[in-house]
Parts: sequence; C-alpha cells; structure tokens
Amino acid sequence: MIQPSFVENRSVFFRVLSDDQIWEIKRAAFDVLEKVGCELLHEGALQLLKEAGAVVRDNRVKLPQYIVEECIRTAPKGITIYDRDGRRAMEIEGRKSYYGTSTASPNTKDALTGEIHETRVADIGLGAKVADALPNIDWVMPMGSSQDVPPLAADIYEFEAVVNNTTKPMVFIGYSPRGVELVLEMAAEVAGGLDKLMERPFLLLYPEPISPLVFPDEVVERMFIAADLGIPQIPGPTAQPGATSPITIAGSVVQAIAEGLMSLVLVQLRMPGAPCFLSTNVGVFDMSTTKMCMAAPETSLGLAAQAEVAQSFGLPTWGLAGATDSKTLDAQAGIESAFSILAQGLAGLNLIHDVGYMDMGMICSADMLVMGNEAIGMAKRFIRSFEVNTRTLARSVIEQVGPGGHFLQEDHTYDLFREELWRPTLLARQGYDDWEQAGAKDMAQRIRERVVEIIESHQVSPLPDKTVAALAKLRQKGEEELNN
Amino acid sequence: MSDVLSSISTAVIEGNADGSAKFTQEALDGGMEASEILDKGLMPGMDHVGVEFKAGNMFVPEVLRSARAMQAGMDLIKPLLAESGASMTGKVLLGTVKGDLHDIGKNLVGMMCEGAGFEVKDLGKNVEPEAFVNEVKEYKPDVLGMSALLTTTMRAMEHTIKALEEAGLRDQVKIMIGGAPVTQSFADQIGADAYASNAASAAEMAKKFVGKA
Repeated sequence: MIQPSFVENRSVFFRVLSDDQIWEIKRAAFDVLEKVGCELLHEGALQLLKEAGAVVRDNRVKLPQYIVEECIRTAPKGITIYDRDGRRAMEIEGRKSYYGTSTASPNTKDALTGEIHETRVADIGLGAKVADALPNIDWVMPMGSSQDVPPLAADIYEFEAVVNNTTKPMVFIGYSPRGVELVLEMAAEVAGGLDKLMERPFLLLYPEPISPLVFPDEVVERMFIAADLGIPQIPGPTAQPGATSPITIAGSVVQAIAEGLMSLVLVQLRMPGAPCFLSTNVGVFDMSTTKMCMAAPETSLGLAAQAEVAQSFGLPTWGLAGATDSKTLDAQAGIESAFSILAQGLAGLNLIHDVGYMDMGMICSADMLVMGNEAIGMAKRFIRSFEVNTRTLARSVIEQVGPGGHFLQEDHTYDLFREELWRPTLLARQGYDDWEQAGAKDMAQRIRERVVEIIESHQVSPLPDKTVAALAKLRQKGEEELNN
Repeated sequence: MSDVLSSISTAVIEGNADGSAKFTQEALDGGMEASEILDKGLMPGMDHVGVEFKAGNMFVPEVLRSARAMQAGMDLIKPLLAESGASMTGKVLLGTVKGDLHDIGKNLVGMMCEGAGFEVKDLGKNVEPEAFVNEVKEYKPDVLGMSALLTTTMRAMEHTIKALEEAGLRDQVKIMIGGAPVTQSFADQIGADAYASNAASAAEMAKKFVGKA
C-alpha cells in the first residue's frame, strides 16, 4: 500500500499567536531597540556596540534593526548539551521541551524532615540527588541559595554540591563574575580540561538583566565570560506586567523580546556564534499583595507567546513551570504545577525551569519536584498523542474480538499496552479499600515517603576520587579569594 | 528442582504457551507424575506472576498471557489428574447477575482463577438465580463468584443467595461477590462469604476457600 503525505502521529500542541501577530510583536521589539534603547554602562560593551553601529548617548544604547538581524544570523539555532559524564543529553532546538528544577530560594523544604528552614549547602546536594533519580527531570539548577556559607562563595559551594550528586546537565546563575569564572574552572576539572568542557558543555549560564531594559555591568560581565568560552547562556530578565513591563501581555512580550535581542546582540558582538537563548521570565505582580506570583496563568501565556516569537527566529527558548505559590503541598500546588507544566509543554518551550518552587519562589522543595516529575510524565503522554495507522486502527482486532468479547487477551493488547498507557508512579488508582489498607495516605504523604526513599536508596554515579578532591581544593582556594 | 520443572515455571512466567506445553509433555514423557508437574512446575510459575503483579512489576495483559501458558500445560495433565484422582485447585462457577450485561470484570476474574489452577465455568451475563442454583447442583463448584456493575442489579446477588438457601445448597459452596458498586458491607449484609475488590484478589480469595493459599 502507498498512502502519500499521510502523517501517522501529529503530537498535540498549541499556538498563541498568528503569523501576523508574531510579525507585529517583532516589529514592535525592533522599534523599541531602535527608538528607546537600553541602559548599559559597561565600557567594553559600549565600545563593541559603537563599533557595530549602535547609537550610544550617555548610558543609552539604541540599536538599528540591521545590527540585531546580523546577530540573529550568527547565533546558533540549536544547542547540544552533554551530561556530566560526557554523554549527549539535550538537543535544545525547535519545540523540544526539557524540564529542570527551581533555584536560588533563600528557604528550603527539608528533603528529609519536610520542615521549612534557611537553605544550606547540604540541601543543594539533596535536591540534586532527588533530581538525579527522577526520569522526567532532564537538568538541574542548584535548588536554593545557600545561607550557611559566605554569600559570595555560595556559587562554588553549590556547584560542588550539585556535581557530586547528579550526572544531569546544569544551569547556573552565578552570583558574581569571578564566581562564574571559578565555577567554570571547576566544571573544566570535571570535564577533563577547558577544551573538553567547550566541546561538550554540561552546564549553561543564566545571567539576569533587569527589566525594563537595564543591563548592569556585572550581568554583562557574566555574559562575556560565557561567550568567550562558548558556554551556552540563557539571559533571564523578568517581566512583571504592570510593574516592570506594560500591564498587557502583548506589551510585556514586546519588551521581553527587545531585552532578549539586546542580550543576544551583546553575546554575538563579543563572540560571533556563541550560543545564546532568546529568553525571558514572566512573573505576575499581584496587585493586592504586591508579591510576584510564579504560577499565574499569565506566566504560561506570556512565555508561550514570547517563545513563539523566538521560535520564528529559530532561537532556543526558556520556560517557567512546575512552581506553586502555595506554602504546602496541597491542592493549589497540584493545580499550579500541572497546569503550567502542560501549558508550556504544549507551547514547545525548550528549557523549562522552576519545577520545585513553592511560596512564590521563596522555597525550593524536593517534594514539589517529585510531584512535578509525575505531572511531566502525564503531560508528556498527552502531548506525544498517538499514531494512526493500520496497526493502531486495529480493524482486524475489532473483527476478531467481535461484539461482546474482550481485548484483554489479545496479542495486540499485550504488544502495545506499555506504549499506549502511561503508568503513574504516585497517583492513587487502587480501590478505596486497598487505598485504606495501604495507610489511607494522600498525595503529599506518598510524595514525602518517595523523597525519603530516594535519598536513602538512590545511588548517584560518583565522580572519580581524584576529581572530588580537586574540586574541594578549587572550592577552598576560590573561597579564600572571593572573601578577600 | 529438576531442570524440566524450572523450565515449565519459566515458560509460565514468560507467558510462553508453546514452551509450557512442550516442557510439560517432556516431563510426562520422562515419567513424572501429573500432580508433581502441577505443584512444582506450573503453580510456582503462576505464584511468581501473582507476586510480581501485586508488586506492580507485571500487568494484566502479561498475567493473562502467563495464565494462558499455564492452561497449555494444564490441558495436557488434566486427564491424568482426573485418572489418578488427584484434585485440581478446585472449581469456580461465575456469572454476572440477572439484569446486568457488564462482564469485563467477571471475565477477568475467570482468567485469573484459571491462572491460579482452577477449573472455571462461566455462565455469562444476565444469569437468573435459578440458573446459578441448577449449576451449583450439577457442576458442584467449590466457589461461586457473582458480579454486578449497577446499583440497580446488585440486589440480584441477594436474590441468588436466597434461592440457594431455599434449595438447601447454600452450605455446599463459598460465595464471593464483586463489581464496581459492591462493598464489603454489602457482602456482609446479603450473607456472601467474601467480597473482592479486584480480579487478582478474587482469585486469591478462591484459593483461600479451597485451602490452597
């Protein structure tokens, strides 16, 4: 049989914007860059921008469209990331989604006791270990900002804690330019040399410009450090509609695209071809509490729209899902986690961070991460959709079973049930009596037990002793330097 | 355990009906007793499947394939068991009660019971109390299993039990019931001997009734 132009499996997806709307947003963003410009003081950057043809007056940089377009041209349209041990891990391109952890919270919901306290380096290690055990978490960030070490040296403590507890790729904020350099030195030690790290990067950096349209020196510095080494980076300004960006989602997306393009220009002018996302965050400034929510529907909507514009340039994108504003692992946490994970998966955002946040980004929680892992499994199954072909249409099976029969014993069932049906690992699907007999535990209790079980039994593939010792030495040396 | 017995167990676990039949025949040709093949080859294989199913490592389609492999071996030894007077695990009579046409759960119970080594007779769906009574009289099952999906039809279980009492047969058979709306308290209320919430526990319950669990 021949069946030309027949698509067997069209996965489920959505689009927020029409092609016309994408064009309007792009045009508006170019206009903002050309007529409004960005605030930037960094000497080296100003020099590069002037040479490229930007209009620089005082600390305001205005970019003609042709400069931006040239930088879009030189930026890689896909980024391949390896794991700690040098194995191919993520192809960041197109509409492929990979979910990762939350980061940088001052507090942690203790992975062992469930109590909430200030984040310690030990918590970062435990968070990474739990992430290592979860099949739907593809990459990690340090889950929290350590409060039990000198703040400037926290970078290097956290890198050490993460790399000793997971082989998964990581995204690193970096608290200072020198801190980032030291982290890269440690990463090179793990990779077996700087050249090897550049060839097979297992970490990405995450400099965060400030909305609206401000690029602080140290952020530019961190961008240049990554660009010089070809380490991929994800610029992450945060649009808060009505506060740090226009109240409208359309206006926020325009500004986010402008900020993202400015970041891209800085990276490309510094090192043409250096990998860089066209990325942003969208947080919702609550107009009654003045707090920034991490799980509002507008976040997913704004990020999906921003990503569609970035996708039209062919550039990698950044999401924020699996977070909750709730203070406990309750129904609110479940709704917010699952909703954002599905919405952003449907939008095809590439790296989706913040699975594990609670309390509006103030708490990282291994429990939330485990719940997110389950929701991602569900979303993956939904988005994967199903094949339509002779085998799956099952006409011969229906014929064979006939009216009143059953399919339980068919080879067709046996051969395909594992692939057709997603199996939850934590959701209650047994009868009421069986559930009651198993201790009548709700989802939060089952998750708590699972986290403890992972910590007690999960084995992380260890780094060689030599590397572990070298990292500790680098961290010690780095701490002395950073504290002076 | 002899090689051939462990090959039989493995074939059952893997759901390999051809293998199960082949190794059972081999064991018979080698002069082994049918009861030994059942107790030390087929049943241990199926017991292992039951454990794995309970642990969430095996799933219904796989368990049923193993049950089919078990049946392939059983078909060869059944006549010999009957001849020697050795018993099978026991006999189970099944049916969906009067007024109810839902039978997927009841069918699954049947297959699970066969997998546990029972001889199963299935009366189908919409079974009148009198039909159950006649069959208890004729077939002499150790266990009667009744199923209903609807709250409107589950009362027919009670009527069937009454009919058995009136016919003086109630004490000759253990009665277990199941189906989505059925509960332990309903079972207690109508005088059933047991309630099973799923097919695997129904088969386990049946084994308990005949002293094989």
